[in-house]
This record gives sequence, C-alpha cells and structure tokens, in this order.
Amino acid sequence: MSKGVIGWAVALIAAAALPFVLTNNYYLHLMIMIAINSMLALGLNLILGFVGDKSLGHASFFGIGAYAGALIAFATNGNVVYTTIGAAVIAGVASIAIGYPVLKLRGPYFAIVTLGFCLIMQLVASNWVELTGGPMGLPGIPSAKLIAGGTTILEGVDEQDYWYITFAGAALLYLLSRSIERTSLGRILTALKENYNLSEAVGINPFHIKMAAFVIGAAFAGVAGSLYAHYTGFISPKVFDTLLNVNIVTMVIIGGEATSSGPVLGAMVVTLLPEALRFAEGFRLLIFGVILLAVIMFAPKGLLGLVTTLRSKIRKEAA
Amino acid sequence: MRSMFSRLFILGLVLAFAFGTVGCGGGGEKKADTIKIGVIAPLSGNQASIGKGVVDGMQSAAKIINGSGGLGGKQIELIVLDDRNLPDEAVSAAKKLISGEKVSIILGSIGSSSTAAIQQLTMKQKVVLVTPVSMLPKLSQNNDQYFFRVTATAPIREQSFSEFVSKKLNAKTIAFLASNEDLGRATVAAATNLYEKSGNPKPVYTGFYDPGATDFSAELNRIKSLSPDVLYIVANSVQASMIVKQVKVLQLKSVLIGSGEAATQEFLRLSQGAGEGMYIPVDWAVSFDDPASKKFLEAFQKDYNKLPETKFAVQGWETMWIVAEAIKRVEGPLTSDKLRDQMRKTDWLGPRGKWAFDANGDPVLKTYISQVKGNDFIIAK
Amino acid sequence: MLLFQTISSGIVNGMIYVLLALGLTLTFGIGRVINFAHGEFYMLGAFAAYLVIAHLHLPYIVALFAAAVIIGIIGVVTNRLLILPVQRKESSIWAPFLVTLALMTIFQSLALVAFGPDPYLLPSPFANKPFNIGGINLSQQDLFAVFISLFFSGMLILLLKRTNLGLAMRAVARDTDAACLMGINIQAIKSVTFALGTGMAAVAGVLLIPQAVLDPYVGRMALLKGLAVVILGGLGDVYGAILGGLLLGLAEAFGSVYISVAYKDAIGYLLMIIVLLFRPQGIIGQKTRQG
Repeated sequence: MSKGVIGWAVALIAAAALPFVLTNNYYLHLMIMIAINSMLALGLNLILGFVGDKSLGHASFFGIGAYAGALIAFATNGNVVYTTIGAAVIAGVASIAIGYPVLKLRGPYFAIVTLGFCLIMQLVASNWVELTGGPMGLPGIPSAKLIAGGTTILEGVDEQDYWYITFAGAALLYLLSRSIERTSLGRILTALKENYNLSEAVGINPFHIKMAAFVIGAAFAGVAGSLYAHYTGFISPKVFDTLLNVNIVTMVIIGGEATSSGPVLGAMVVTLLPEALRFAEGFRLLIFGVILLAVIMFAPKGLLGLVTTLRSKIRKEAA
Repeated sequence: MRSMFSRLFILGLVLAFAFGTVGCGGGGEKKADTIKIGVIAPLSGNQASIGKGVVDGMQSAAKIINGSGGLGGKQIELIVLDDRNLPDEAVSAAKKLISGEKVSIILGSIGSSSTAAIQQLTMKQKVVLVTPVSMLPKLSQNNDQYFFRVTATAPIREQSFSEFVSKKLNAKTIAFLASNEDLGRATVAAATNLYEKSGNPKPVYTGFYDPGATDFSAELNRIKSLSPDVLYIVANSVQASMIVKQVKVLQLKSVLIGSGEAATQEFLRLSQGAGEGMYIPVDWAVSFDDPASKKFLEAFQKDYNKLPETKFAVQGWETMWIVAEAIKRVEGPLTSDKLRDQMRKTDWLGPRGKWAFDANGDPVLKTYISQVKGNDFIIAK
Repeated sequence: MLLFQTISSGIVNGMIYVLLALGLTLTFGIGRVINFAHGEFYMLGAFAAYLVIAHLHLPYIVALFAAAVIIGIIGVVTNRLLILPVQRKESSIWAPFLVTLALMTIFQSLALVAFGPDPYLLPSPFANKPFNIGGINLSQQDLFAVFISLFFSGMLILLLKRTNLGLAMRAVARDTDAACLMGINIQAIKSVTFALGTGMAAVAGVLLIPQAVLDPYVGRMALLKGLAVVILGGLGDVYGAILGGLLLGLAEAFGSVYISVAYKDAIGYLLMIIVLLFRPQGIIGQKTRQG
C-alpha cells in the first residue's frame, strides 16, 4: 500500500510542477484537454467496461453538462462548486430519463439508440434558441471561481489555473472510478458482464446496477462538460458532435477497457495524436485512422493490455 | 500495487514522446526574416471545400506580395492549421499559433462556432483576429477591440435586399427555407425585422433544415400548399443548388430569392439551370471587370488554372491583402496593438469595393441585386 | 392535395431509406458486423460511378452496376483482411465494429486526398426530371430509386428464402457454430454477405447522389438514416428494414409537414426510442443474442 501512496505523491508533485516545466501554453492546453477527455473516458468506461454494452452517445452527457454548467455559470458568476455539481446532477437526471428505455436494450441496440439520443440533444440545442442560443452558441461563459461569502477566493484565469482545476477533477474521478472498480459494486458489475442470468439468480437486480453505472458515468461527463465550458468560454451544439461520441469510445478501447488507467492512456493518445500529426497536413486524419486500425487489430485489449502482455512475455523469457 | 510505478512510467513515456512529436511538427527551421500569420480553416470535414477556397485565395495573395519584395523586406509566412470545423480543434490550433508560433494575428476561422471559440482566446490574449467568412453578428458585438470581419453581417446585407423584396418585387407573402446555423438564423431574424417595418411581405413559413440535409421534400411540400409570393432560400451554394432543383421538380411557382452565398460559379454549375430567374444579392461575381477584380482573377487563374468556384477565394484574397496593407503601415516591431490601430485605418480597394471597418470591426460593403440568367448573374436594375 | 403529396413523398423517401438499410441489416444479421463505414461505401460507390461515367463515358445504368461490383469487391477484401481476423480472435461483435469505425475515418480521408473537398455532380438521365400524376409531383430519379429498392428487396427475400445459398446464410445468422458443424463454409458465406451489403450501399449512393452532390462526407447522413431504419425494424431482418423504412419516411413527412420541421431528423430516433420501449428487439426483429 505504501508503494501506492508514493506513486500518488509522485503523480501529484509531477502535476503541480508541470506548468513550470511546460512553459508553452499550447502544451499545457493539451494537458487540460487530456484531463477533460480522461473524465469522459472514465465515465464511459464505467458503462462500457463494466456493464459490457457500448454507449455511442456519451457526448450527450458532456453536452448537457456543458450547457447546464454554462447556464449556471451565467447565473452564479461562475461559482465552480455550483456549476460542476449542477452539471453532474442534471446530466445524471437526463441519464435516468434516457436510461430507463435504453438500459433494457442490449448490444447494438443500446449503442445505436444512445447515439440517437445524442442527435436529438443536438437538435434541441440547435432549436431551443431562447435557452441555448441555438446554433450561434453561448459566448462569454464566466471563468471558474471559488466563491465563499460573496468574495472570490480563487479564479481560473490562464492555462496554469485550469490545469490545476481539471487535473484535480480528473484525479478525483479517477480515484472514484478505482474505488468503484474495487468495491462490491465493481464486483457486481463484473459479474453482470460475465453472466447476466447468474446475477439475476442471486437476487441482484441487474437493471438497478446498470442504471447506477450509467448515472455515475453520465455525471462524470457532466463535470467534464461544465469544466470545458468554463475553460473555453464558448459552447455551441457542436459539443454533441457525432465525432466526439466516436472519440470517447475510441479512447476507452485504445487505452484498454475495464481498468481505470486504460481510459486515461486512451485519452492521452486520442488527444495528442491528431495534434502530433499536424505535420502530415492533408494526410493527418488518414494516418490517424490507420494507427487506430492497427491498434484495434493488433492490440485487442488496448495499449495497456499490450504492455501487460509484452511484460509477461519478457518475464517468461527471462525466467 | 506494483503497477502504480510502471503505469506512471508508461504515461510519462507516452507524454514525453507525444510532446516531442508535437514540437517537431510545429517549428521546423527558424526563419528570422518572416512575418508569421496564423490561418485556421477547415481543410477536412464537411466545410473543407469552403476552407480550401479561402486558403487558396490567401495563398494567391501572399505569393504576389512576397514576389514583390514582401512587407518591408520581410516575407509573409502563412501557417495554415486545419480545425475540421470543430470548435475544440480550432482552440487547440489557436493555442498552437499564439503560444507556439507567437503570431500576433490569426485569420480564421470559417464555421462561426470555431471563430467564436477562438475569439474567447484572442480577446483575452490581445491577438488580432480577422475572420474572412463567419457571419455570426455576436462576434462584433462583445467589445473585442482586436476583431475584424471581411464579410458583411446579415443585418447589413438585408438592408438593401429587403427593400428590393418589398418594393420592387412587391411581395405580400414570403416563406423562408434556411440552414439551421448562424447564416440561416441571423438572416431570417434580420429580414423578418425589416419586413415588419416596411409592412410587407408577411412571413408565412419558416423552416430551418440540418446543414447536412439533401432532401427538402417535406419543407417544400408544405411551402407549395401555402403558395407564398416569394420563397427565400438562405443557404450556401451547394444546398441552394439542391433546393432549386427540388423546387423545379415540385413545380412550385413562387418567385425565388437567395442569400448572397449562392451567387457563385459553383451554384451555376450544380443547379444545372434550375435557378433561372432567381434574385440574389451579390457583392462579387467572376463577371466583375474592374481592375481590382481583374487582378484577382488573373492571379487566381495563374495559380490554380481555373476560375474561382465560390466567393470564398475572393474573401481569402481580400483578407490577406487588407492585413498585409495594415502590416505594411506598422512602424517598428509588429505588435497586436499597432496592427489593430492600422487595421482600423484600412482604406483599400478590393474586388468587392472600398474596404473600411466601423468601430466594431464590421465592414461597410456595397451589394448589388442580381438575377440568374443563363449562366451568369445579371445585375438587376 | 397536400395530404396526398405528403403520403407519396413519405412512401418514396421510405423506400429510399429501405435501400440505405438493406445492406446494413444484411451485414449485421449474417455477418454480425455493425458496419459504421456503410456511409463510406455509399460515398465510394457514387465516386466509382462518377469515374465510370466521366472517364469511360459509359451510360448511367452501366455505372450503377459497375459501382456495385467494384465496391462489392472492395467490401470482400476489407472483410477478409480486416474484419474476419478480429472476428476470429474474439466472439464479440465489438471488435469488427471498431474496425469499421476506423475505416470510416480512413475512407473519408482517402476520398479527400483523391477527389478534393469540392462537390461533384453525378449525372443521371432521370435526375431532377419531374413526374406528375394526378397533381402529385415526384422526381423520376426518386421513382427509379424506389423501383430498384423494391427490386432488391424482392430479390433479397427470394435469395434468403428460396435458394441453397440463402439457406446457408440463414443458418449462419441463426447459429454460426451449428452451421459450421453442418459443413457450411462460414467465411465464404460472410464474404458473400459483405459483398452484397457493401454493393447495395454503393447502389444506394449511385441512386441518391444525383439528387444531391458528391463529396467525401456525404456518408454521414446515409449512415444515420440507415441505422434508424434498421433499429426501428429490427436488426438483421429484411422485412423489418422495409417496414422500418416506410415508417420512417411517412413519420418524417407527416411530422415535418403537420407538426414541426425543426425536429425532422430527430423523428426517426424519437420513434426508435418509443418503439424500443415496447419492443426491445425492433418491430419484427427476433431476440438477438447478447453481444
């Protein structure tokens, strides 16, 4: 256990020192996007990795969280406690509403109907102009502030501040996700994945468990959405883009599902790779696609799985 | 627990590798004597053809400027980044340009969502942002002193066009078929507002369609049953061409009018004659033969061996020239503040006319009303 | 009048949606692949036809068949090289699904590199020619597409119900292991299925693009509509696809004429959620096995 504590200490110090090492704000921005994407991937991982069914509409909760966070930010001058909790709650409530019909479905039906839900949400955001600003979006979202007793204690101004905010958020959700993975809920979820009928037989209501995972996953995405809204200061119906849905699924798969570190690794790859490939200009997305294809074909358990397999191979050879 | 260290190690390794590559991609060799200008445009994704048009025009202009000695002896270096028409990619691109390349000016982007997202950043960092295409009215209404727009907003464009619709066409009823993006929303709002003031025409139907739609039968069936005097198609040239063709099949008899986006060679090519008789406000067309237009057409045809298909190329060309002229006037080292002040003093004659910006950074542009006749836009008197 | 026009537009659009859905439902039902690159095969089919017409100067009808064959071959190769290998490793339907997800990006980027972003026109002798009957206006191209859609639906039903190949295909769809024990060459059957599925996507592209324009990104709408139809009717069922297509076409036509046009593209998905509330396997779908 002490090793784990040391590991965490190293990670925290590294995170705290990062803005002083990465003096280029562009790099720091990419780290912020990795933190935000990690929250999304961790949330989807709970649904996808543990329940076994893949949601292609996880961006709906990111978008709902972004709009909820933005609207609460306008009302509270950016009180980050209200915006994140509000966004998490509203995304969670929305997930119950859609989860009720959808969680009874299995396999491809579940994937496609969640994608459909995201398309519906995008249309709502485009057409409910009074609330969402329609396709013109919501500019000038107040920055994240810690407000106590009417005075602002801390305010997110530059990349450095947002790195600390988003890192804290991602680390918290990572811890939460790991503890779910290890506690009885995690074990039940895994049992559910392995044998649907068995869990029914031992008296666990699989629907309730699935719903719990779905709601927690959606709340994670809601938090990510509200922090994204604070950070960029502008959101539009593009937060529901189909591509984002695909990206989140890719993060979890590429990194390695059903572990908490896999999605974080996946978020790094999916965030950094398109930026790192900018030198390829017109061939950028082609190379990106080919790399994804290669990972899917040759590392079916994701990059983390690949590393584990390689390591055990090396050990066997050494022994 | 053993895995905690190795996991951290792997993560660190991935990051170090990635940032190594990210760094390599951007910098390259340092050229001391260039003026770096950042360009953000969609070069892939569903707006790629617009992005390419704008960038083509910019590169044509930059080539001529560099060919004649550059700006005060320095060559222009365009750093063009793709945003796939996604706001978060646009923000990443803008951060790369501002923090990595240290540019003091960004030209872009195309989609209003991307431009609005970039603006949140350029406004804070005091970087000049010049958009060649984005029409969203809000962009120039949030007190951003560093923002300029090389295109007319909907309310400005509708001013003369609405007069034409209510007086000359004497329309009593009108139906809107508009794209559900800033172009459609802003145009419909501006036009409705102006029609209300002049008393006619009365809007009887407004349909906003998905920007990716290809089938308009549901909307057009409804419009046909209402038989309005005028049907206003607010769309880019690609979708406008699909709509007019479907209008013809449905034998809808209303007078067709369109937004300025459709006054392009692309529309004439894709609509295959179905747009005959349609009225469109036009600020530029390939048939313009003033010296400024000729200069543009000559340069463009030399570089790309064809006529510009859309007006986006001319918008890119003018953006580049206006910015270059402003940079030329800056004395001493180039800073955002000096550049902004010189942009405000813009007085340049381009293919679309005399360019000057108002206090919000919006241009004052003259538009003509044209009618599609044969394979051309004829200025209507 | 509006009522009749709405009904006929709805049926026409519905049969067009059937065309988009047939290939998708087939590759899922028998190949057990949710083909997310379906829209890209649709796009590539239209480009193939464009090349045949513009460079070989062959007539539209020939281009239609040529595109189906070319894309069918690309489909088989894709299936052999990229999909079957991952399908063998894992019994899950998800690995092949992810392959098609990556293929979506790859095919779009390839088309962008090869053809550029500017829109093309795919010429057709029927495009944008009106067909009027009793005051109802339809386009000849649409009617041609409906005819082909009916033809393919009929042929597919005959193939599945009346031929040995169809019997083998149904056996594979029902229970792969049992089919294997009966001596059916599973890989060959899956290849045939994929050829049919992608070939039909190409046909849909060649039939529908002349009414619109052709660029590397036209596949998105085709995929989204196709998926809605397939889920409405029930994955893997030809009758389901026909019923789902007609239902979607009519619902969109009536919904946007009489309720609100703003949510036209959501109607299919709203309908889908409502249907699945009562019938989790689609309107006529059988219960699918767990992924």
